[in-house]
Amino acid sequence: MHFESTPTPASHRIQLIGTDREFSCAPGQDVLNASIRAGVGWLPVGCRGGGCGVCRVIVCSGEYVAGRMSKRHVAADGAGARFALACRVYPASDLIVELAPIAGSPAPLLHP
Amino acid sequence: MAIEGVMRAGHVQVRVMDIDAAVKHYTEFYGMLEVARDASRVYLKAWDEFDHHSLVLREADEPGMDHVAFKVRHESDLDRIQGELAERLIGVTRIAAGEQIGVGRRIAFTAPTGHRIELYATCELPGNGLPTRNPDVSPDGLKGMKVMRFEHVLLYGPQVEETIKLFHDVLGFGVVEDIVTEDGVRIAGFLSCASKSHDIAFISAPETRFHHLSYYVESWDAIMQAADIIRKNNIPLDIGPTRHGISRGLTIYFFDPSGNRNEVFTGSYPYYPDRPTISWDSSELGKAIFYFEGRLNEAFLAVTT
Repeated sequence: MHFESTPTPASHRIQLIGTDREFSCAPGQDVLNASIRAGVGWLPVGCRGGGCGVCRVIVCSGEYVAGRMSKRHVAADGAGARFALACRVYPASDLIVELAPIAGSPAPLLHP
Repeated sequence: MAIEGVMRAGHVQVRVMDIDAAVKHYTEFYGMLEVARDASRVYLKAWDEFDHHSLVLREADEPGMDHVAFKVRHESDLDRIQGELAERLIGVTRIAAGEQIGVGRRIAFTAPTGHRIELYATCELPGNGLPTRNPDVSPDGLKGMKVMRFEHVLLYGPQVEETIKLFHDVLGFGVVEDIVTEDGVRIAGFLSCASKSHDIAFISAPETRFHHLSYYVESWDAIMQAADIIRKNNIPLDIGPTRHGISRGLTIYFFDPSGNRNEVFTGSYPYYPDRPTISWDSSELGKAIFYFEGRLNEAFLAVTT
């Protein structure tokens, strides 16, 4: 086994399931911010603070560290889905994620 | 005194997920002053408020608004309003003086939109940092956007028409502006209890949500300085600087570290009770909300806490 004395933090690949979209997430970067830098509109952008739930995803595979996220939006559903808010997901490996829009979108009854 | 009954939006209690990050945001960037702490909450005021505080932050596992509280002129107003709510079979909760530091007894009820609304008459008045005799125009040492005073909140929820009627009939608010569909259904109302263009606003939505809290700044120039602070500190921007058609206010929107939307606001016009209601067709919604752009951004509709 070989240990580097000063390991270089690696970027990770983030794959959006069901699409051909894949982007790189730099060390210390959250998945939403990485997607913003990779291409407009790949993930929906909301409050960027783990609060509104607009950028919710299911992490299908891979490891990550999560910042604080609104319990309202990430409590496991009946199927035990692993919800997370992309703006608070810091990858520790390559990830495969799936968009998981919040139920009961609060969009108001404004559109005529 | 010409202004009686409900005088103004006095304070708002907001949930945050990281209290230290929130305090840093609201003091260093928004420019408020920390005035007190208790076991679970941090109290802040804007510099030009005489009252003890106008924003209370409470750490919780989801963001959003606990309640918004209005200050009434006299203690007797609380008894009168409690009686009128009871006549309408609306439950009232009494909160003892001192539950919030510096604030007297409060009464609370749930609006038809689902939001908790509170009323109080008494608050400590530590002042605005300036003498009340021959004062200069601002204190030293202000930070960030230097917000001056609590303006209003905007809330999303069901039963907006019933809520507007309750605020008008029981609390004495005027409907300053509203938005109406072509079927004649009112889907938003901007309400004033004294002389501002709005102290509270409601927009129709299926679920009870917090849209934003707003503080007043002095000028359009201060809005642009807020934009500079947002960019310099990587604060998530929503939209602006821009102008509202409704209220004609000048504005910029952004988010606190837990995703609660903040506004800094200036301009607008004074409201008097004899001013006719300004109505907007929902087909003109874009211009009504964002006058320069003439259309909404998606986040204004979808992003709430």
